[in-house]
Amino acid sequence: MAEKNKENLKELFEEFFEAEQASEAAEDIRLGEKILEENSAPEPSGEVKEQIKRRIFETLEKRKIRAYRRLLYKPAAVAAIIVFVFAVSIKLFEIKLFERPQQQMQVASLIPASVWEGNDIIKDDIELAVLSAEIEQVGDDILTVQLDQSYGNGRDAVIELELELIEIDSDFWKG
Amino acid sequence: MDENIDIPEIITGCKRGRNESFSRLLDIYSSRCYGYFYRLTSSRDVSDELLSELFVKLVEKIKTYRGGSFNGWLFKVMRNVFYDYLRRKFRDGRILERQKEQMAEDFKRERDDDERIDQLQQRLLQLDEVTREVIVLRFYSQLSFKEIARMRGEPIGTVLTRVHRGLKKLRGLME
Repeated sequence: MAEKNKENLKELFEEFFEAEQASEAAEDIRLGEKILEENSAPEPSGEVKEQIKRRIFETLEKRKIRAYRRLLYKPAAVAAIIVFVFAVSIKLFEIKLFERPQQQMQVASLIPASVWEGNDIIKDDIELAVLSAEIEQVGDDILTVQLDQSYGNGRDAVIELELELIEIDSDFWKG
Repeated sequence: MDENIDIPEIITGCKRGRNESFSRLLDIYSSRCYGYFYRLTSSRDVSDELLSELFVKLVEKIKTYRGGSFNGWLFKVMRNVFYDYLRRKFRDGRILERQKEQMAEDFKRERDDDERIDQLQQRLLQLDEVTREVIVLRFYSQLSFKEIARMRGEPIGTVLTRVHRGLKKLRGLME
């Protein structure tokens, strides 16, 4: 039912006019609208309606295509963002991975710098040979101590070994 | 309008983008919408164009309809289409100042030459634009005065007085 048919015109007008005036006004409106009913406006032609239906169909099709595109582009855009973020994260991770050990690592050479920096190769070679022999000797001694703890006094052997090491060390630094 | 037509179901179909639902909507409302445009423009060509624009607009806007009076919503969209047309006409008239007079003449000639212009149309043109619009809106939308007042952003008393005076004058002119 049309909304206008639900309202009581007389009651509506009574909010603004006297009862008698309200009745007259309501009647004026009724008669005026009767004129509009009796003189109907032209109707749209069937051809026009068909054209509009075609236009509606085209508009709906365009909307569907747009919706499909959005459906395709959206995941593609999201995937691109994910790939980008992932690539950046990997890059950052790599940088951190390589930076950390460099920062923490303390480099110490077992061989004195003088050996590497010396210009006398023959002398350096002899010193290196002596050093190697002494290290080898120390290694043998440690092995002996470890394997032969039951023979003799093991504690003395360790002390002896430590003294030997100190001696090597002092000799080495003395050149 | 057939009282058995299930408007909510048709609207649901329209919201889902069904072409048949829009066609149905056009069949139901085209006469009233066309009448509204014709009574305000006095031109069948313009009414054809505006009716077509209205239904394309409905395809785009149907999802913004959130229940309530569909008539009210539809006529709101329809008024916007009509006012857009007026703005366009005014803007074109301003831009093409030289052609303004020509346009007005064309419009007048179009009206005068149109054999389909009935007596009521000629009398309606003698009313001021605002009164004509409210009378036509009231008749074709079948909305209550309260709804029309809300739609126009005017007090109900103003709308009542306007329609009452306008219809009374129209009756006088028709006699």
